[in-house]
Amino acid sequence: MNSFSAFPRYAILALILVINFSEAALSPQEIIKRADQARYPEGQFSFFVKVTDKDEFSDSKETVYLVHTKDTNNSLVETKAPERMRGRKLLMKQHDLWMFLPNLKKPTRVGFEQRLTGEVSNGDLARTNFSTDYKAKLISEETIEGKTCYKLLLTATHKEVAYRRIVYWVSKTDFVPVQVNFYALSGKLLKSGKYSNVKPVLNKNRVTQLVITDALKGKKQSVLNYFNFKKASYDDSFFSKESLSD
Amino acid sequence: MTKEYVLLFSQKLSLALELLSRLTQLGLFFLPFSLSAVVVQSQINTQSRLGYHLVAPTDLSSHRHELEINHVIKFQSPWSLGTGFRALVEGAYATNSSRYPDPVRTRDTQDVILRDLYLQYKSGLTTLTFGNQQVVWGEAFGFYYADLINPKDFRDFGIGPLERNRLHIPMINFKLNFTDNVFQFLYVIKPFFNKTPNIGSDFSFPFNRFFAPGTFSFNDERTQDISWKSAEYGGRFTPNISGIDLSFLYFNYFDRAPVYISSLSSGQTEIRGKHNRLETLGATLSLPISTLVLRAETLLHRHKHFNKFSGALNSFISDQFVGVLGMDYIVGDRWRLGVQLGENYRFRTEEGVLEKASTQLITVHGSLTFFHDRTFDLLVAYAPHDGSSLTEISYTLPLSKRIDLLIASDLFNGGSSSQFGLYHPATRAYIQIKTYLGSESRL
Repeated sequence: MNSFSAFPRYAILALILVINFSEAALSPQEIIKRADQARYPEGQFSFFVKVTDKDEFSDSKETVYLVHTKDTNNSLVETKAPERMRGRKLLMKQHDLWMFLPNLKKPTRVGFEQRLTGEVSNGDLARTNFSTDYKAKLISEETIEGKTCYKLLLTATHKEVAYRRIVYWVSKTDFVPVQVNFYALSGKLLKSGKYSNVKPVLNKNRVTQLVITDALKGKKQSVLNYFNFKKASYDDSFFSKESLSD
Repeated sequence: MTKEYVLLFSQKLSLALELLSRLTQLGLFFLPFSLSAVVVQSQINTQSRLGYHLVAPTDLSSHRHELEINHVIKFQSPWSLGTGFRALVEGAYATNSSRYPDPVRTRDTQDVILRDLYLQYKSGLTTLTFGNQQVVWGEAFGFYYADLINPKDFRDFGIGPLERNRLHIPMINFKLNFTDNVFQFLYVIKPFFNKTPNIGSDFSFPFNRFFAPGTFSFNDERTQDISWKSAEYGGRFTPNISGIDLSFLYFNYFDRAPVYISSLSSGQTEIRGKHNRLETLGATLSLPISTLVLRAETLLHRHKHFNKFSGALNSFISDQFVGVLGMDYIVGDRWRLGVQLGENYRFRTEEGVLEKASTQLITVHGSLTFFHDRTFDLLVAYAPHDGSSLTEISYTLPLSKRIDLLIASDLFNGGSSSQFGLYHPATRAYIQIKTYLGSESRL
């Protein structure tokens, strides 16, 4: 074999090595950071989320929220439907949480762990990024529904998060989240979630549906549908307790 | 009686609809501005209540219908406009005349209350709200302590949502919001006072203990003329320090609650409600501790007037300290549990004073939401200084996305001269239908 005819083979081998090296260089933290981008845009934005709660005892219940977020430390969740709950607001600012109820007309301090509705916690709606609250460790690779995924263990870096431990499956090809398990500090599985419905949102493909299932009561489920994402520009004062009653 | 009531209700509903149309015309007046409106939020809520006394005579206590309409128009600019009113008719006063004579029958059978009518500018650090509005201070629940800016509607003892019982008043409300530090300044153009129960209602002041029925007349001022002397002013500084919500407040104002002054004129006793100026300094705190939230308020009322009776109804001046401490456990919108202790301490006393120098209130409240969004609410307020109590129980059953059925009872217990026992005859049960209509349009 002469050196000229072997050139394409060496080139392909070099390309394969470069690709593998690039993938190997991607840290677990970088993987979840890319997965965060497949869930939400960067910067300041707003979006609607429709939460449909289902269980074996009742018909499904729908609640619609409008979420404003400046960064991982500032989020405001407004209830838009049903009509009897319209006007309720939830402000998350760093590790503090306030609720505004129209029948009181003043903000009330609440604990961060409190649940908002059904299987969805305040942290599920208000917090947007795992990369800032968790330290990631790559466990293995698994195939979920035909997709090769990174399986990562996320451990909370501080105690003011809703879940102390998360197991997270992220697609290896496009870093879109596929599945998630939420655990208590004791290691007990609290709930599991499946991401789906990938759509173009603000110039990037992102997941727009999350189905959360109660690990103990399998028939209790919440379906979160995200829509109407918009870029925004907020003053810091927009995310203050005193602005809730304005 | 039924025909009379239906006629009365129809007349008042027509009045409400006429007001609604005038408000709509007001909106049309702003049409040039509305062309730049971005969001129009509308709310139309109705309430109908039927209640009976549980203490003999077990007769009609309430046959009330209410209509409330609120609009908020947000413009493209930093301006927004808020409007709202409530119209109500209380049929029990009209139909149960044996229990509810004049003046409550003529004064409180119907009412139209202007609520929001404000223009707001909100941009960056600044929020300026001018007009009829509510401003709420304080961290306590269930009762009004630091919540002293707006007068309250106490014609039904103040039972029900706190927001509903606050009466909107015209004021200039200026806020500088530095996010973790907020400065607020208030200037009340024209003072308004609590709507107190008229003589003959379930919750009227017991004048009969001091004067024989039919020998006195009563008049309570509801407002004063606009002048520099009658203006009210104050402010609040709200810092958030290491996760603790603090506020420091000062307000110079006319007491929302009256003291009663009696005088003899032409052989008839005239009683008038008088509202004296006082000033209040205070501090409030709210602090999460693990899954609980600690709330506290301390207030010092200076130069407050208190009622006394020494042959005639009169008043004297004293400072008063108010302290409130509470703890809450809240689980989202599912359930909540809280306990609160309140202490009112008056520094001076005089012979014939109607209220003890030191009074306490222990309040426990709980709310549980279970399947199908059914909610059970309980509030128990116990006054250790006289052993009386108030228990409010309610059960809310959503009938649809927009209609709720409420079944409730208010129980007043204690000695006949105690804080709550005085109103034992008003103990009642009722059912209520609420409807929620509304829309939000983005233009």
